[in-house]
Amino acid sequence: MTKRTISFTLNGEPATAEIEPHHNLVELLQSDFNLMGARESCGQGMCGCCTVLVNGTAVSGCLYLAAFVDGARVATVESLANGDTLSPVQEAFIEAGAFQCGYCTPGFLLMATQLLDENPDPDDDAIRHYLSGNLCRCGAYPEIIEAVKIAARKRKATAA
Amino acid sequence: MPPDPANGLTPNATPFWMCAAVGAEVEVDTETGKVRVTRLVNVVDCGRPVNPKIVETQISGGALMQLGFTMFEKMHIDAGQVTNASLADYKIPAILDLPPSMENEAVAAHQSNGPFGGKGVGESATFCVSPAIGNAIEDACGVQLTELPLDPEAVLRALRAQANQPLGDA
Repeated sequence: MTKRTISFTLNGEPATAEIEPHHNLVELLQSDFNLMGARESCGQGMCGCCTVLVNGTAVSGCLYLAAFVDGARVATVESLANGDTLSPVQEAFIEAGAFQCGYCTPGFLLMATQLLDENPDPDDDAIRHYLSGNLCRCGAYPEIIEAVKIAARKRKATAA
Repeated sequence: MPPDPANGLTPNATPFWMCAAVGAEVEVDTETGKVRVTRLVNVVDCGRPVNPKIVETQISGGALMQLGFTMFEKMHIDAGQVTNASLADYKIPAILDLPPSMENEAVAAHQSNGPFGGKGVGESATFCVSPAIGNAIEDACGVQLTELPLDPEAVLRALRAQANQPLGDA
C-alpha cells in the first residue's frame, strides 16, 4: 500500500502524518495523535459519535478519509476546553446531567457548539432539528436540550 | 436461606423488587397506522433517591430506550442471520422521537435493606412503557396489540382486521 504524507492544522497546531489511502479521520486521530474524543460507533455516518470539525464544518470522521484533511483545519472535542477551563457548552452538559455513559457526548458537544455559533438563541425545535443526526442510546435527550439552553445563556452572559 | 435444592425456590430470589407505573397519551393515524406518543409520565419506586438528578435521568433514559423497543426496534433474522445489523436499518430513538411532553418522578419511598434507603433504578422505568402505550392505542382506536413493536404496519393490520378488511401478506 502506498503511504503518503499529509500536513494539516490540528486543534490550532501544525501536524503531519503518514497515512494510507484507506485510513479514515478517526483512525488517524486515534492512532497518530492519541485523540480519543471522536470515536467510531456505527461506521456509517448514522450516529454522530465520530463528529470532527474540518474547516469549521462538522463531518463524520468514520466516513471522512484521512487524505482529505491534507491542508485543512481540523478541530476535535479536545479543542473545546482551554487547559482546565471547560467551554460553556461543556459546563452546561455537566450542569444539566446531559449524559449517562458519555460515549455520544463529544459529538453532541461539537454539534451543540456549532449550533450556538450559527444560532445563539435556538428554540426547542431548532435544537432538536440540529441534533437529530446524533444518537444517544442512554436517551439523555431531554437533558441535552436543557444543556444547550443553559449553554446559550452562559455564552450570552460572557459576550455581554 | 439457601434455595430449596428440590425446586430452586427461595424467598431471597432478589434483593429487591422493582415497582413502576407509566401513563401514555397517543395519537393514532387510522389511515396509515402511525402512532405518535404525545405524552409520557414515568413514575418509579427506587427507594430513596441517593442522587435525585441522576435518578431522573435514569428514569427518562430508561423510558426512552423502551419507547424504541415499543415503537420500532425489531431485529430481522433470515435463516439465522441478522439482516438489519446496522443503525441504518435498525433504528433507535433519536432526539426527534422524544415525546413532546415527558414527566419523570420517583415516589417517596424507603428500601429497608438498601444503602441509604435506596435500591436500583435503571430498568424500573422500562417495563411499563410498552403496556401503557399499547393500552393508549386500544383506548384511542379499539385495537389491542400484544406483540412488539407497535409499528405502523402492526397497527394498520389490526385496524383493518377490526374493520373486517384484513390486509394480505406482504
